[in-house]
Amino acid sequence: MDITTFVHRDLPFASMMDVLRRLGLDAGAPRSSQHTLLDTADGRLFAAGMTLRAIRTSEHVNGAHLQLEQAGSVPASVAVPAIPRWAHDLPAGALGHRLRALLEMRALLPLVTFDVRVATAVERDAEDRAVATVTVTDEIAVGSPSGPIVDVPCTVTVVPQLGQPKPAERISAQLQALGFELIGSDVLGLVTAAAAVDRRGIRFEATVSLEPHTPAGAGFRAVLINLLDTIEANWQGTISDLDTEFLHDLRVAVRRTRSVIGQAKRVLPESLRSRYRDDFAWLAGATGPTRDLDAYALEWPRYVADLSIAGTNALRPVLEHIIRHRHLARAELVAVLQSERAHTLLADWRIALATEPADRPSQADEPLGVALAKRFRQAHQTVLHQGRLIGSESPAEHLHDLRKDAKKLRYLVECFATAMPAQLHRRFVKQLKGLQDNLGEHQDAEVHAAELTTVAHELGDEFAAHETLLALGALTERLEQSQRDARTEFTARFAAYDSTHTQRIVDSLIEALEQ
Amino acid sequence: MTGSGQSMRVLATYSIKGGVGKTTSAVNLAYEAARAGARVIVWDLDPQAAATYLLRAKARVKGGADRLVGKKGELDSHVRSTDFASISVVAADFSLRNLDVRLDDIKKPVERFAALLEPIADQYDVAVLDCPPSISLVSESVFGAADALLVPTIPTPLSERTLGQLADFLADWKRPPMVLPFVSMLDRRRAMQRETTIRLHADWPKMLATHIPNASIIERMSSARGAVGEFAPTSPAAAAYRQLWAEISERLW
Repeated sequence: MDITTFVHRDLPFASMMDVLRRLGLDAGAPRSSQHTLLDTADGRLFAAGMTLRAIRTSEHVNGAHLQLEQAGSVPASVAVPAIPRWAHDLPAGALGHRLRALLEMRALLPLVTFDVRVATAVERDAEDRAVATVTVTDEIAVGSPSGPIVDVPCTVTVVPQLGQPKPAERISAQLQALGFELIGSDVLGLVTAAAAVDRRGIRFEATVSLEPHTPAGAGFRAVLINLLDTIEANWQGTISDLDTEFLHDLRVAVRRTRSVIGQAKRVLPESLRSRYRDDFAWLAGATGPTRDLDAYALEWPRYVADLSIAGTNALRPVLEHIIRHRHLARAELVAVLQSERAHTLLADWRIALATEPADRPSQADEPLGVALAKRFRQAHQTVLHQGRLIGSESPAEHLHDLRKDAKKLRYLVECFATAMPAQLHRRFVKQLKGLQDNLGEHQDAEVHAAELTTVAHELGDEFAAHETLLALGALTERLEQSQRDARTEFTARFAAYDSTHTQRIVDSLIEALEQ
Repeated sequence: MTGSGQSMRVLATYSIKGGVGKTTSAVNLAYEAARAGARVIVWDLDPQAAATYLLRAKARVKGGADRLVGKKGELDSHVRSTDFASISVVAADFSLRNLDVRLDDIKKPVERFAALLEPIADQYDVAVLDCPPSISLVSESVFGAADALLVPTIPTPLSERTLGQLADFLADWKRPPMVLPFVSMLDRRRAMQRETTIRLHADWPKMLATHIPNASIIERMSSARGAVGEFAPTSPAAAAYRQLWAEISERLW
């Protein structure tokens, strides 16, 4: 038997407790507490079937109890000195272990906070063992950071004991006979509904539903609106620097927007394309420096993983230098995001996308599938052509150019994913990702090694310690080695992409789109 | 679990010798593990069902030992709630006196407990197996399932000797569990116990640093029916178990 929750619109809290006493339950005194539901902005815990809340009672001056629930298992709880924000704030032990792998670099954010009064009533057997537990929840006052205070009705929740469902079943039946209404939710469900909290969080992947026979113009606009939603959903989190992934997701959505605009030749009006191509290029440029430094800081533990403690310590000024630069870059980024130009861009873009253009280009009314098939075929051919030209003596720039072409192709298939058969899409992305990962490693190593050289010069000017400069040199050498390794591996990775296996998937995808 | 790829850690409070504090350690460590944020299942394998009693569960194995570990046996239907939301229990009863015989009837008895635990490995973080004393087929199946044996050791030459016997026995195992002995029921007033404690730490590098005192508050568990951390949270014994769990936890995660 599952946990069941009831409401009774006419009975106040005290009367509910009387009812439970009359049913023979041992009712305890009510206690007030404050619950804060925590999750990442992209709802990672919810997606994993978990509910994490921080519970504060009058006993907690500063700290709280973290309670982690997951369907099909008993709850876990642990006292913490403060509500954790990052994976490294989580306590050592099992609960932290379960959450850390899910959180990665994302922050735990408060989704909703609510005050509540809870009383517990227990049914015991002849030997004083609990056989069923009932909680009555009252005075639920919900205040979300963005929403008003709303009230949620008093609820009664019946919790069966493992392996002993009958007492709870009997109590549930008795409550129903007394006019209690069974609801298909629980207290948290009522609270999140009242506060309009979507526990799925900000969706990064394309969520717009597309059909191959939709007119191309409408399909492209729907995708661009979807991307605009993602940009706006991550806007404030980027300004507030809640975690690095808001900027990452915003930046990717902007780049995808640019890519889709680029692909929309003869689908969207040229006047529209040219204005917004430039505006989004400006926005993308503004997000670059901070993201590059974020990527640096996130990769840092991996860079220094094999170094001795002395080596890691010697490099500390470098990390501090990166963090200082990030701080400066972020100030510039925030100024851009808060600028009139940025706000006008987003507002105008939404209006432009919502309006059916009067001057419809030649391909605007052709089926989306046909338009996509053409672009997909062409983008794939470009990657093959550019990749085949690369030999062992080719300059690094050729690999960077190929990386950009591969990215354009990836954006195309990801933005329009829902117009493609899911399995074929997954198989194609897997093929392309193998190549992209290699090109990404090559590029990151080069950019980071170049950045380190700049840092070395700047730190040299600031009279950095000799040990730091030596360690910096060693780290740069290591990055250059990893770039050489990526270059060596390129031939095999490209061959895996430039294969009959990939071509079969591409042909099937094109066939499905054209149908 | 060993080799299963799951994240549940299987611990067994085990000693060849009886009366060394296995059951009290199992219950107190289960309590401290839960207090530290773990979802815990205690599997009482001792027909005396003392852990079952201390956790206020009903001493009954539905269908007896055969239904529990036999060919068609499974653990899930034997799991019961306790008064602690994060701790569940698989109760024991007197039918477990025949557990050895039941195990002997099935194929691969040494792998049996691991196989029984596997389906619940994503529901719990820690399984604590409270074992009967002696070396038997039951203990071998415990060794096959456990990531670590927690061995309460009274600092006396006799207990020291049984620790050696256990090490000798496990020496032939391909993948033996980690053996984590700890000093149990320490009476600091006794010179011999103090000397043996020093020797135990010198001879057993994996010996846990925390000592569990010989305290009357631990004896009171049988009347309070709970862990010392619950009914006497500020007692030195509760502090010792808390510290012991922190030490064990550090080696697990």
